[in-house]
Amino acid sequence: MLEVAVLLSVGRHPASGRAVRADRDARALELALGLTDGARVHAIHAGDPGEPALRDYLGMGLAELTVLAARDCDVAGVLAAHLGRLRPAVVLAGSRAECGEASGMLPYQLAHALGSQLIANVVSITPLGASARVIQALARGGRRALHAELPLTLTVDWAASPARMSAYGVARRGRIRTIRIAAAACSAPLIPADWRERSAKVRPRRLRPLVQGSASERLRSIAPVRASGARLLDLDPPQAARVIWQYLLDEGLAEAGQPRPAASSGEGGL
Amino acid sequence: MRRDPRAVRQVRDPVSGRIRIDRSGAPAGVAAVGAVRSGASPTPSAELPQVTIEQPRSIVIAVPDLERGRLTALDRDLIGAARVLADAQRGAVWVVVPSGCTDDLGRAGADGVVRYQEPTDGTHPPTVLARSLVELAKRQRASHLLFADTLTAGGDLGRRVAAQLDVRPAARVIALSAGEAVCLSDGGRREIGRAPPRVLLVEAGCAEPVTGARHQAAALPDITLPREGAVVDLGAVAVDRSAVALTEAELIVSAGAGVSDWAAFHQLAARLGAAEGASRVACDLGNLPRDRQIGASGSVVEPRGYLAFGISGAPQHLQGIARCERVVAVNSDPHAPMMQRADLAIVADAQQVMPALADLIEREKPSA
Repeated sequence: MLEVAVLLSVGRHPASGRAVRADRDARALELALGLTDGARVHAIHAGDPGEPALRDYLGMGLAELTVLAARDCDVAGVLAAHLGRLRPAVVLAGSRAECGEASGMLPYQLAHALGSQLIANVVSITPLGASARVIQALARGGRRALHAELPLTLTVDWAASPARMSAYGVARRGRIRTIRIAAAACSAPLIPADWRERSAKVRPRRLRPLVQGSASERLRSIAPVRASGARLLDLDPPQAARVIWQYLLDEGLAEAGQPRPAASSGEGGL
Repeated sequence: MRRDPRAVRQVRDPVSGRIRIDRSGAPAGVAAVGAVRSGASPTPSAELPQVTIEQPRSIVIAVPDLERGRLTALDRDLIGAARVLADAQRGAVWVVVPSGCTDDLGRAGADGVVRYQEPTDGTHPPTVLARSLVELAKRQRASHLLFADTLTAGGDLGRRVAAQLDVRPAARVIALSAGEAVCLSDGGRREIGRAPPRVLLVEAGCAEPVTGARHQAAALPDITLPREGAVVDLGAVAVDRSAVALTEAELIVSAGAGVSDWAAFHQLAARLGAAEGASRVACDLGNLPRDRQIGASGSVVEPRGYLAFGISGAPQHLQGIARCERVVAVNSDPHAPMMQRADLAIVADAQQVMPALADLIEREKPSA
């Protein structure tokens, strides 16, 4: 039986600002619930057990949600201790919280503490006994397959399939199990005293790269010039096709002689 | 509070000896000199003042994401941010890149370049690279490590490094000075100002890219990545590119009111391996689903390549493709705004060009 722990946080509705399920965490839960061959899903939240938004997760088909009642502290240590006892084969989490510092560090801290491998931005997972095959989403729509030994920590982002709707009746019937946390275990500050937290200020956006040089160079940089080498051509269709194809090849947007590989750019490099 | 510009930005023009106020907005000192020099020469890149930092007091490590071996705009901001931290303590910026990087890193602001060979034996790069970077940082007593806060590249790598160094990194850094890193938090509603920690994950616009000076970019000893078997990279997976979200796509073929032969359009998109997009008119007519609409009321996309067939280019549509790198337009009207926007504009009937292009691709790609 594959033990899967899903870390769930409370999100915020983008329009109304009300507390709701966090979309990335809900996608992580969706991935866990989609594991067919007998995975046992442990849904875990660290925070306030009375938070009504937790029912949104229960409504996705969970019988029980464990809440570590740690409030107003950095929960990384609390979660690491709990997961250390539970020893799940797979830990799933959204890549970043919607509220609070939201640094996206929690999965990494847990993976480091638990000594498990971490794979970011996962879209699918297939368990294979003591290992798993994982598909990772890359920039520009690329996908990469990885074969990883368990235990694994996986983060989930927008590339994963959207979460199912939350059913009201199921949400009402689901049980929230509270685990009390000793005050000593909950001492790390959420925001250290020497950090200055304030409302986000609207900052000026840079409109164009800064150009230095003579007056004529600066003028040229702000003038609405067309892209370098821009061309306007009047051609018959076969010639036009030939010119477009050559342009795509020159710009590396297409490759002749073989189909384009799925992950051909950008973040595929790392 | 009023500021005295002379106290902040006064520089002496080395050629004429006159006192000027540098309004370029670049870091004080080198940039102002560079501005004067480059103005005097027709090829500024050849004459950029060389900056050499002898015996740096500290090392700042910057790890750019790179796209096809070249620095992205975010990477240039990242190295600019590393310069902000390094210049405050007369330190050097070391840039860590794979050996395939072809860009001019000295001009981007690198004092030293550390290269590594990308693993080809299926080792998952971030796992081993993070470990090597932690070793490098400890060996050189690097004061800061900077990464681009992207999901699967720099952000992943930087968080691994931060976890191993046991620091709380500054993530989503949107502004940076020597004394304070400003991080977006709470989904962008709040911000946190804190002293720059050892690991920073920066966003675009966090600092100005380096212009007007050439740094040394000395080749430093390469790092060798260890082998690792726990995570094995099985390579790229073929995906149905037309099903990929438009905002993720690399190449988009888009149709507007000027397209009537939809079979040819779908065939072309499939053969190019491109995602399908459409203008509002094409979606209104029901020719493509609404989630394929590009523009102000649809998706704002930033693919590397955008092929527009029969789209005249309403302002709302052009807004949606403002950040496309390369735009090819085929339209029968040479005066359409889309033709002004395009890098390659072809005056022809889309109905005839689409099948011609699809046939050409079929001939050029026998294995596809």
